Amino acid sequence: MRIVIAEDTALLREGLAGLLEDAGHEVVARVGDAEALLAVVAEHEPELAVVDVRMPPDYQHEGMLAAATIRGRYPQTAVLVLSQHIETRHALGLVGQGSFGYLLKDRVLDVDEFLDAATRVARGGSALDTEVVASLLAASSAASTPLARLSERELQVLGLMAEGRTNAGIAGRLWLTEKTVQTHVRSILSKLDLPANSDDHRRVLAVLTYLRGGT
Amino acid sequence: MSRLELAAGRVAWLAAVVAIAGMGAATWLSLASPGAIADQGASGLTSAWIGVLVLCVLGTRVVRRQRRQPIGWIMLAMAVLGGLTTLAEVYAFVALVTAVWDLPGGAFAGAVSTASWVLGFAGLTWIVFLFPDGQLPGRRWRLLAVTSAVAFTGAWLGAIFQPGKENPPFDRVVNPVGVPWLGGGGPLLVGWCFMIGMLACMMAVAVSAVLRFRRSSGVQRAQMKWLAYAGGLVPLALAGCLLGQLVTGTAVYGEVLFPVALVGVPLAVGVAILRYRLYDIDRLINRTLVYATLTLVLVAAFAATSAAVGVMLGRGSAWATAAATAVTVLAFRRLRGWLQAAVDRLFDRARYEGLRTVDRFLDDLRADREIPQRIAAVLAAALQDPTLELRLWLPARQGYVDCSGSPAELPHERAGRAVTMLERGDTKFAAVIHDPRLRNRPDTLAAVLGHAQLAVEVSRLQAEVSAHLADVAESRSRIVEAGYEERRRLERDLHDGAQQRLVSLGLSIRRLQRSLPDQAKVLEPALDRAVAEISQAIADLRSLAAGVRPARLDDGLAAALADLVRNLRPQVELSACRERAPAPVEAAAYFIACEGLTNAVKHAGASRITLRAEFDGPNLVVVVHDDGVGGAAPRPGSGLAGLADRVAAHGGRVSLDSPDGGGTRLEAVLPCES
Repeated sequence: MRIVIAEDTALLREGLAGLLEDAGHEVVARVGDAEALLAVVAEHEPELAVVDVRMPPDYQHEGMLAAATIRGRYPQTAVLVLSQHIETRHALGLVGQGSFGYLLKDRVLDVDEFLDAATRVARGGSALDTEVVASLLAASSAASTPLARLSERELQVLGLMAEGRTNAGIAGRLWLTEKTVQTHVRSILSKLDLPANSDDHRRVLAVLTYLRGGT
Repeated sequence: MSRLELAAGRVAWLAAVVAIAGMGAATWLSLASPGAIADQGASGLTSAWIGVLVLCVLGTRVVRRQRRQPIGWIMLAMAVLGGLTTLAEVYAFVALVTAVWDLPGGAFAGAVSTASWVLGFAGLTWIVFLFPDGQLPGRRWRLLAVTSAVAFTGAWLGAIFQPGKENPPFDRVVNPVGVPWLGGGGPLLVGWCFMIGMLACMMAVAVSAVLRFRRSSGVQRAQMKWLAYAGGLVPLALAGCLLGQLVTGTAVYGEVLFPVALVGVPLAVGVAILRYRLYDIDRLINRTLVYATLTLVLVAAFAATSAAVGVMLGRGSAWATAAATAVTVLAFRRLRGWLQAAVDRLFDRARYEGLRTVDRFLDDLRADREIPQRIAAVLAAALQDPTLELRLWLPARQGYVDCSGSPAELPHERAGRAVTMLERGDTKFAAVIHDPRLRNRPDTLAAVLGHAQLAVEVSRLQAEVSAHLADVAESRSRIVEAGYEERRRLERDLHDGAQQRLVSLGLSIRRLQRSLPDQAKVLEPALDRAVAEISQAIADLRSLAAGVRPARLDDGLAAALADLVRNLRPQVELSACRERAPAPVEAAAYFIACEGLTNAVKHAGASRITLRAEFDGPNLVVVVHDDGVGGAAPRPGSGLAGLADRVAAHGGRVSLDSPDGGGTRLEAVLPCES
């Protein structure tokens, strides 16, 4: 997989690059700000861009804005945004569209999970941080009753669905068979009155729309 | 200036010179001829001088200002007439009465001089008739104009050509130009008709002046008032003469007062036409009424007291005079106040009511029934100008504010508004913006503003104090906001600094771990533990940063509160509106919720906690309610006390209701409009 990295902290940037190269990916460019990121994406048209949210000059959400631009202009380039803290204003809309991921930065320390999420996103899937999902679920359950009808297990499955995981991924995570997961998913979707859909990122979109609408 | 106007100016000067030359000649004659002054007396000549000079000065000034103003020319004509008549009179006197010198034509001069009073009255009548604009009051009055011209001319000619002996003091000679035929029955009757017609015309003119006064407004009204004032002085002078004669027993007052009243009419006419201090007439009438009545009453009191004490102690006693003086002096101040109020009430209702309005307000102010800020409205009512505005001067800001304390400007000079400054000594302290027409009533304006000075000053002081308070409140909220800004910066530093370093460190360990040769795999558990430690440190750091200022506040208060209550037990029932408030308000609301929840979870032992953050009109209201043990109180230095300060800085308030055993309800109201 051909990857570009945009991260202003050199130490972290090199660490990330090393990690991805160790995993057998090709890091074609490493830059420190959003402008340079757009330039290298245009030049290399990579399969994945790993982007820090806060970058020079203003350290606000330059990375997120660049991510949105990339998603709009280069459909073949997926984006994985890394953030220091949860800030969902811009992220949720992009996550639902697929080929996009939003993770807290320290998730890279769980190397396998991180590489899995990167691969998933590069293949057109989604990745949303557990923290974000938990916060969405909390806010949503405070405001809507249908969530209360879900069992504990179903809530777990719903969370993992929102994180963008496939049925297989959920099964592996929860030590369940894929078949059981499928049953849970069907039950959840019908309880929440959502359309059954085999396409993974459409499913994420539906779940996220539901959760956001509920909050 | 056209040639005609230049010529007119020269004619006016010539008239003045002729009049004064006539007076000069008359004076020289009476001084040079022995006995003339002694017999005739100097006072007649003096009043003639005063009259002629006044007429000359006013006539030339009026003519210079308004060439076409007939009143100016009538004045000059009267001056010439006065000068020449006086000369003729003195000439006839020297020739016929003292007869020291043998002068020709004395009898003719006598006849002319004794007939000229008719022309004097004609002039006065025409001045009144044409006053103040030099026009007839209307087309219908033309008949009166013609009639009066005929009547005065007829009466004058009749007086000159009257047959037989001349009028006193020249009744020793026969009129040399007398026409005997005029002594016959028919002509005599016609003569009387002229005389009666003349009187009738004078009355009709008086009626025309009254009508003109009734119809007048603005400038003309003030001009008519001047005329009425001068006209009113004549009976007043007569009353003064009478009184003086009663008290002192001599008629000397009459000789002074009467000419003054007669000079007063042309003077008033001149002032009115030249519009010099035109609008002071109200004050003049007012004060004249007050002081004339005051004089009358005081003289009466003096006379009564001295008579009464005189009866008791004998006439001419020094005690009588002393007692009368004391009574007069003691009565003066009180009486003047009463009379002023009475005159105001009777003749200047607006001024009287205006002062009363201010007085009532001052009373209410002292009794705490009113607030000083209302002074602007009171002044507007007192001066009957609803557009009136008050501007208070704040020296510290070098600017004006209105009564509510917000900065305000004075209007531009040509904005059709008038500005009157209020000053104490040399320093201004306020300005009144009003209708320029109030300047037409300077007496009322000055009296009402002077009366209200204290209230205005109080209002100004209050505005000054509240301006200072506003400054303090503003700086307090700036400090609090700076505090929030500092928290934001700190949070950013934690995230972008320490946290990044920890992640980098963890990443290095992970890479090291993955590059370990197989024989070193025994190290893996230790490295995993190290990374887990680092992960925990990062999580700690994140929650520390969130305590400083939750980054989720960027997503809105609702999102931040949802995060806040997520892991709390017992579970918190949250209802938060998604509408956004200004960032500092949201931050304050967030920390209030934190404080309330901390108390409920840690100390209250509650089983049920609700948290609400909703808009109530322009205010964001945060309520934390639990069913715990209650008894919470904000101790100095506690989190709650600090919160109350912070909320107050936003202009909000915190209330805590926590009865023992009855749960705790913390409510904060935060205004969102700054």
